[in-house]
Amino acid sequence: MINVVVNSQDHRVPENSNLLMTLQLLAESQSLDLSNIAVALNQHIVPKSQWAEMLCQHGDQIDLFNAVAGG
Amino acid sequence: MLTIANHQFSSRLFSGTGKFSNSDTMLDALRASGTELVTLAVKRVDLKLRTDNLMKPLSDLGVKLLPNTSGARNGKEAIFAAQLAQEMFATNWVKLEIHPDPKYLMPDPIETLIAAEALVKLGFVVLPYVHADPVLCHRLEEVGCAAVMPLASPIGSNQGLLTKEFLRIIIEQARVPVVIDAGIGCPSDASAAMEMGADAVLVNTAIASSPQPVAMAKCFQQAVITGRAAYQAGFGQVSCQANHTSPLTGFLNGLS
Amino acid sequence: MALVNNFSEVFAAIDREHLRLSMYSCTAADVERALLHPTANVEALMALLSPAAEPYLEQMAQRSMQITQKRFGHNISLFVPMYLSNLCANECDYCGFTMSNKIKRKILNSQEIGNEIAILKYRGFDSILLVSGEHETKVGADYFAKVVPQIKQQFSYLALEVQPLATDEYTKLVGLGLDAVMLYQETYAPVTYAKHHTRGKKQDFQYRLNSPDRLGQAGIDKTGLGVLLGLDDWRLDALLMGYHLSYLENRYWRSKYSISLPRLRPCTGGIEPNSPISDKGLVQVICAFRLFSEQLEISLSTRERSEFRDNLMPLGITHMSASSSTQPGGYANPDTQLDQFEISDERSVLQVVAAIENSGYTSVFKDWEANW
Repeated sequence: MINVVVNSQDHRVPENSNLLMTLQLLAESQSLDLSNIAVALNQHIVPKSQWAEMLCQHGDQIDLFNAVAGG
Repeated sequence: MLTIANHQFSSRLFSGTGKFSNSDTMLDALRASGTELVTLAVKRVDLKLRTDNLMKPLSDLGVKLLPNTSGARNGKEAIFAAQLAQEMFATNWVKLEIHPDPKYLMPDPIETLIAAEALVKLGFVVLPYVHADPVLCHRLEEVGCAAVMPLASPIGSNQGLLTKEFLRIIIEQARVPVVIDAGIGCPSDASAAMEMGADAVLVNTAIASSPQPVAMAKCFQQAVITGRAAYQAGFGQVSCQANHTSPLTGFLNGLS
Repeated sequence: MALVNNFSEVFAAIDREHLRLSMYSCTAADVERALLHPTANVEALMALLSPAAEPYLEQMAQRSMQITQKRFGHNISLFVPMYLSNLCANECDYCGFTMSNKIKRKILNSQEIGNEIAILKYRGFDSILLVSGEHETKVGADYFAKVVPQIKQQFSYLALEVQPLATDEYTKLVGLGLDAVMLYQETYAPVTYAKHHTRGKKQDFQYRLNSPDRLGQAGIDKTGLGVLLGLDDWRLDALLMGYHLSYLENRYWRSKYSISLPRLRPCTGGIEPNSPISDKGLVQVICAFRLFSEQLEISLSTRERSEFRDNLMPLGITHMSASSSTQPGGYANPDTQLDQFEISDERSVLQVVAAIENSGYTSVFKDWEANW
């Protein structure tokens, strides 16, 4: 298992998880809706089409963004 | 019909989605307003909180979604926010909003101009929110912004068209659509903005914080339509009075 | 306003005949409506230039005076032309320099320029308008690039009134200190234009028409437009110049603009004006343009008689020349009789300054010093 930081919170995920798998795990455990979110891995935005290709490493910083109400 | 970039709008009332008491009220108010463009912000997901997914009901409404970069304190953050929004909304439209000042939420003109130029080069359709500075609006047009969004008064203040004279200059000189944004407090403000020749107005707080947002939204819809129609009909005005000094053209009498 | 490449595109879309008919069918009601909102309004300009506006002339003059004073104060800026050369490769039947005229042709060299400079400095001038006939090879961009620095060293403001140049040539001259370029379309009626310009590069109507665009792109401080009133229908020419001005002010918003209103005057081999403009007409054009554009500079040359110039002073004029010579080397050697056009106001600088003061205005020789 490796440790990744998601929105400043530590999470443990299996080694060799890719980003898509990591997000799916989070979606289950946190009741997270994966549609309409944007993801940055170590401050670089990863397009949805590339989630399955990005491998997560120990200590990676993952930030999730969604749309909220605003002016 | 209002055209911005490659999109046509039959409503000249744009709306924000913030400050409503709940999403149902927000959706009802947006529907009542007849708006065809709403703004949304981009934030880090709060994993502890279960927040409503806004995107689905909004896209069901059939409105165009305009993500804003609110929260960005400088150009770099704004560009990042724009790219996140592009990922999330699958749109290249962005309302560029950079306010490092948390008290009055005044937009940073320098960061905005720099970020606007960068975002246009990256292929975004940029609608920058700025103070009612005519030269700044010229500069933003020059770097390729699709419209300009000068403020009427500070965000959320409901103070109306404090910058009226400068908005008039911007409208006179602009070669892209002018959307008056921020501080419009009541339907007559919106009407006045349209009577001046603004291409559209963006209203948020005045609708969301009304005790009856849906009713208020309808009023704004009517005010914008009326103001625009009046502008197109044309106004008569108080005539200027000339000073009665000695005649200036008397010398022409008896000449050819 | 749609984004276009240059004024030619805007001009091509204008229906001349429709515009002319509209103008001549303007009524008193149209004029009164125009007077309510004249600023930056080409429809208002049309009404104010139309025959229907003549009864309103005094009112227009009063407003014009107020607006001009509000914007420019009680100031008249003085400048003087310096003719560098009378060589010309064009045939223009209204001009003394036309190529077929057998006159002594001259290009000033560095020393002769120095002599002219000395006299003009002595007279107190600090704003110079360099003029030449249009000769690409002998008096072209290279010649100007040589003389501009020499002259700019001695004066604060330098303008050029020569043949149209390319954008990069303008850019280079701006870099050398050139502040303004005057380029008169002469007439905005292509058919009439062709009748009066029968040989040489000046025949190219569109290239001339797009010169102010190139100037705007080169970052010039001031662009001067002008029509030779009387070549074609002067009301229509003035109105089309207004369209041109409107486009330029909107697009090249960093530049200042000026207009000149020369009336067709006798010259060597002279021609009669097709559509003569009276003194009243000239006053109408000046006032209409002032109401149209509060910040527009309006220039009056020594083509006009002294008393007439004095009467025009409060009406919207901002720039005047004085003690002008319209021949190359004419300050150092004023004997030769060949002017580009006949001078009607032959007063000295001091006399003109006195007249300006008499009218309650101040003569301004130096407007600005660019130090960087």
